[in-house]
Amino acid sequence: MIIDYIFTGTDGIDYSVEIEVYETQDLSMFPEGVNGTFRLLRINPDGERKLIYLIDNHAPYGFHEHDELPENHESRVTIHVKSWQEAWEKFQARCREITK
Amino acid sequence: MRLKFLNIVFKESNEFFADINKVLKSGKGLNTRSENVLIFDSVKTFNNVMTVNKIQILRTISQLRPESVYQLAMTLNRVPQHVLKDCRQLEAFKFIKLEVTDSGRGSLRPILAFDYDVIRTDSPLVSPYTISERSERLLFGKRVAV
Repeated sequence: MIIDYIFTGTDGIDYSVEIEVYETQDLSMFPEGVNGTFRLLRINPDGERKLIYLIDNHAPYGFHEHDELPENHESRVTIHVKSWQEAWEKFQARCREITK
Repeated sequence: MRLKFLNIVFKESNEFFADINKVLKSGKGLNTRSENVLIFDSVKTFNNVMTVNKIQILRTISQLRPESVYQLAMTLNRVPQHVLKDCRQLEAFKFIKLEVTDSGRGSLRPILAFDYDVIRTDSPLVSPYTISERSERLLFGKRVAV
């Protein structure tokens, strides 16, 4: 599943949510058999798409968020959730915080 | 040959987040991919993006296939920097792609995200936008100048 959702935040800025979730056979990298990423991007008036929040799940980190975007892509913090649904709930809560 | 549509769907954020939750819960639809759909939160957000100038850009790209943003600007008789800014926005919202050409000057060739003929929405408040020459011929029975 690949989905793009475009919305205007309550801060008046345009954002895009990109969701990529699909089943995979690569169980060493994706122990749940699902490869997924939730991205929040800010769309600047000049058309630049800036990645500002990201949750994904892969070895060796498990579910984690990239908490220092857009400056530092390598900073990861483990999030303690057990399923994609819980990760999605965390993602949407964070989206609401960022875009208000 | 049938017309190809780029479909614009409007969903408020609560509805969108709930729909994704349902898919993740059921696991159904995980392996589907629909490149011909863009989801916006409101008609207002869509209308802010889709100005008259941008529709003209999309029609010109579809019908005249310019080799560069500069050529596109010359065709539209507009300032290249302004056209480039509009193209960057259209790319950000995934209506077009900007391909780096091998001319060696970092020139950008604008192309549609895929070869769609019409942009249509699920709202009665927004009329469909004909983009290709074929769609204008079929829907209006005449050629409309870009």
